[in-house]
Amino acid sequence: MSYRASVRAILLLLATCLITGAVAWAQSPILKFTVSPDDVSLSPGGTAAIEVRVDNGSVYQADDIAVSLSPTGGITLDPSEVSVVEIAPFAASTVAANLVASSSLAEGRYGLSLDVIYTYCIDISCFQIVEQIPLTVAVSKTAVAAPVAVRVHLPPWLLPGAGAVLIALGLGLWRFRDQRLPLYVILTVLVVVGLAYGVSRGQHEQAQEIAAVLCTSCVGIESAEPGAPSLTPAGLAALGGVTSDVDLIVFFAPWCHTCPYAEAMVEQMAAANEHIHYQFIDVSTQRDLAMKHGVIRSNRTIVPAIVRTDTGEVIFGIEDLESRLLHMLGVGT
Amino acid sequence: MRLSIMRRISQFFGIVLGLFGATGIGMTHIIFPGLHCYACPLAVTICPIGLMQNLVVYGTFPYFWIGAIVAYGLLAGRGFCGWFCPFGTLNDLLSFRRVRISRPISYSKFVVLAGTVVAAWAFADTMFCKICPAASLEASIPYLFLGVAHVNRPFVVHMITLGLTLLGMLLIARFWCRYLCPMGALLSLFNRVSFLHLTLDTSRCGRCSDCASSCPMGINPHEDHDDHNCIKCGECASACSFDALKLTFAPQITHERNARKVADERRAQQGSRDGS
Repeated sequence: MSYRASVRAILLLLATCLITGAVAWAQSPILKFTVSPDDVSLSPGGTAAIEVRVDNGSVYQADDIAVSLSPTGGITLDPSEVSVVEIAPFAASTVAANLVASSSLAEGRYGLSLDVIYTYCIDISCFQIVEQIPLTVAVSKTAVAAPVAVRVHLPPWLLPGAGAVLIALGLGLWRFRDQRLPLYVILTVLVVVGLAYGVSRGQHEQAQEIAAVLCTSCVGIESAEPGAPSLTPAGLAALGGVTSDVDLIVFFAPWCHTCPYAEAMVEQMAAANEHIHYQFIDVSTQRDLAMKHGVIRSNRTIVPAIVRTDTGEVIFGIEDLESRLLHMLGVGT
Repeated sequence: MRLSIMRRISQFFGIVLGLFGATGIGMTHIIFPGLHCYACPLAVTICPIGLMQNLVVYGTFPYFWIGAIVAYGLLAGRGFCGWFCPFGTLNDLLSFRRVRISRPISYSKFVVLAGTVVAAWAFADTMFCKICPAASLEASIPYLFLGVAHVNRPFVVHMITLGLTLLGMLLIARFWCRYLCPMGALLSLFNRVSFLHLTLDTSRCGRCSDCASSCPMGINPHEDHDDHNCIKCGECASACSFDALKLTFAPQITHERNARKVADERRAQQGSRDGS
């Protein structure tokens, strides 16, 4: 490869990295709020409905989202606070309320703001965020309460459909392959749009989460057990030997096929002996705790993992689980 | 610098990126441009085939994945197989028998790719990972030593697939890349448009077939130099004593597939004129 070709290759690689980095940097944080209508009209003593759409564009769940009106003379919110318990990652929710103007309110334009308070957690670190959404209210005696605007949301098939059309277009243009410029344009657009839209939807985070957690059955380190476990009579008898309190933590991931088996086994043991206490923890939400208990090894979080908190012992996977758990509890043979 | 030395350095960097977790860095957002298991204890990059299966299971339309794969395809196509992929490097190191490729059988890698997608959808699980020889080498064996894996049925299945693949590599150069690699199948879709590509100067070609005998993939570069099996390793360019084949990095705006045919027709016309 010539010197010029090498320089071209390096420059193109740098440009790709820059574009991807810029897109990743520019992605919107946590929650996005949209108030409709944008401009509210009120008559003194009148009422106008408003809607607040909350979009969660992150991979983290947002909790306890509460919307209220900053104190202002003459205009109140009814009810005074509207809330959403939780919004899952990449989900959206809408809250509705009424703005009520007092009868003595003077005509004019009022700049108000809605106070929003919500919580989100990354691993074991939780953050409470307070944001203000500006809202303009026009008060006049002739105002008619505007109906809440109906927002047109893109149907979910639109973007995949557009992608399919793009690919079909590319294939159609393939017959003009002696002149490849159109094809290069299409492929470049596909790269930029795919990376930008994917990052804006948090797909890069999703990909990282998938890769960072090792589910033992997923890569064939062990088989996924199809059914629920059942303790053997010998196991049940051995459990009687646990006479002091033992705390177990079962670390799991939602997509892990072997985790339900491990959870059910621990549940059955706890049901058989009141000294056994347990909790289930999603590793993607409590990474620091998983690190503390040695569930993360060589930067890889391994699930299912069962930890005995007082001794720090840890069991990975479900292979021969009953016997290994009994051994961990100090009653194994 | 000689092409083969540049390629070895690039392959070394592929291995370094594959094992970059040794520095303590955790998993990044980067999709690896080759076959490298993300379950590897030292991996910091995402396996494109593993991710593809997970996205099929979740029913997620893979915008980010498509963007990354098309970007890699545009940059180098299967050049990543020849220059970067650690599993490709292992294939390279075991390339002792450079036999001719069977073109009909080489389409089997597309069957593997389609089968990987269908199996992920049908079983809602990453089925290919359970038999992937890269996962056997980079995850199963290391985790055995880390005390996470045990010698059980899935482990034995992994070892069998790894053993068979290694045997195949010993008997046929680049066996995995030729016939079975789903990532190679994906990247090969871009071979005719990738910036990294071979050019053939038909006026210089002496038809000596030195390029064909040097090709680890067993293709005939002087007949079809942008074949879907070409990994753009440049061995043929180094072997060409007429300097007819060159590895270059530029858009393939003008298609050269018919260049050989045109040159042959010209030679035939010239021959008939000389004869008359």
